[in-house]
Amino acid sequence: MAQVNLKPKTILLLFITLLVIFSGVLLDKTGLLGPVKDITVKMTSPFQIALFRAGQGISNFFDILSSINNLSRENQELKNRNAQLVSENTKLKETKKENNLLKQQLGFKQQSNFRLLQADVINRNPQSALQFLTLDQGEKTGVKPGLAVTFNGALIGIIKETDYYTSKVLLITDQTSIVNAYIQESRASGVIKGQLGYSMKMELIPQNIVVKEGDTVITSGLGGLLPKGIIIGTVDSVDKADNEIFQTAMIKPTVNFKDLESVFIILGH
Amino acid sequence: MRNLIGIPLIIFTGLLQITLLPHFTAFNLIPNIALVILVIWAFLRPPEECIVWAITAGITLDLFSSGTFGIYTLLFVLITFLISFVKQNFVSDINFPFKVLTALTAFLLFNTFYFLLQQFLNLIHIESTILVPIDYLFKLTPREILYELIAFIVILKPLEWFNEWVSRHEQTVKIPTSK
Repeated sequence: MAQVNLKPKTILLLFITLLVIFSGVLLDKTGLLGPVKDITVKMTSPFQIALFRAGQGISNFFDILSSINNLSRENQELKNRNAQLVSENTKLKETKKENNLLKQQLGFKQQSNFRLLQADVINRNPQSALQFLTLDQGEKTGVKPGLAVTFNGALIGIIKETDYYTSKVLLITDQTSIVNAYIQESRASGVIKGQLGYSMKMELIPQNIVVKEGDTVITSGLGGLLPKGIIIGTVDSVDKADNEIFQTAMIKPTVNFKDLESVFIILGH
Repeated sequence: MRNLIGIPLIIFTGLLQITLLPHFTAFNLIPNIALVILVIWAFLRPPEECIVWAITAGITLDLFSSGTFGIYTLLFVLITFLISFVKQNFVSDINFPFKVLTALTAFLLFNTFYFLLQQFLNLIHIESTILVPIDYLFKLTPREILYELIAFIVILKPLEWFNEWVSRHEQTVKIPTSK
């Protein structure tokens, strides 16, 4: 039989732990711990941002090393793609001009641009089960829960919690995230749910719609503060069964979630 | 001396966990290095010291994480205490297989209970849906444990050397004062 010989110091430490946890949970649930967390994050944010960026730099360096063999081929592909995009862009500019003229003639209101707030990523949640980012902008600069957060024009998440100096973003790849969206090409609507890892699934797509790989998925603007038309990703694969009412599609994000350093919060129109 | 080095070191590890490590994911998972260090430290040092480290690491991660305050502290202290307890009362020879097996159990306990506590006690600040436990426990947890086990094997020896170095330094500091 094992002897349970706990030293008084060990018992005292265990008691302190219980006290810390109990008071912490209580303060957290009542919202009193929020300002403490907020100030701690704010005070250490320069140091955290520096470490976060250093990690990004090291990660990029290794990415470059691993992809060096493919650079020549990728370069050629990008040149071709660039030429194609320049051509498309020219056509689109023309179409936009025509569109604006027609809208003016028809009396449509010109839609204003988004009001954006730049924010730096301070840190990321330590456990993979919860995909949160902490940003260095909070209630002080007008951030509130429900606002969309973008990176390179693509939706990456929604503000979930705000404090005075900082805010927390729930990434769209988190399993608890749900975003209303539609497929740009077919106009089929559905909901985007986060999956394990950094992937997403679009559910509730009507069966009669043809969904193709590579189709673009954008926000529908239904519900909440999410504006319409922000890109979410592209269709990676489609799962369609005849005996189902809806089809589902796996969505590939356009953003590499490991690259997030500086993001934009959409404050409104 | 040991806590003077150890406490800032474990706070720094907590900060690395949320800033640097997210860039070095495998299968999109982040290994919990703070937990790995605490498990190794529990093999090397007495329980009182390990619990102080566990409280420090727990509070650091609880302050910066998005879940409810206290879960990291609770699990870290519980795991380091259990390892110390088993080490003192049941095992005479702490060899490598024992360390690996204990670490594996510790990682399994941590990842499972972290998730279950967040889920079923409804301690998280997410009001929308509940995660699917089966999905998480059977898909994500084994990968996370494997990743942490690899990190454990990599860090084990350097941390043992660090412990020896600190022990030697402490002895050399003590000799002149004992004269």
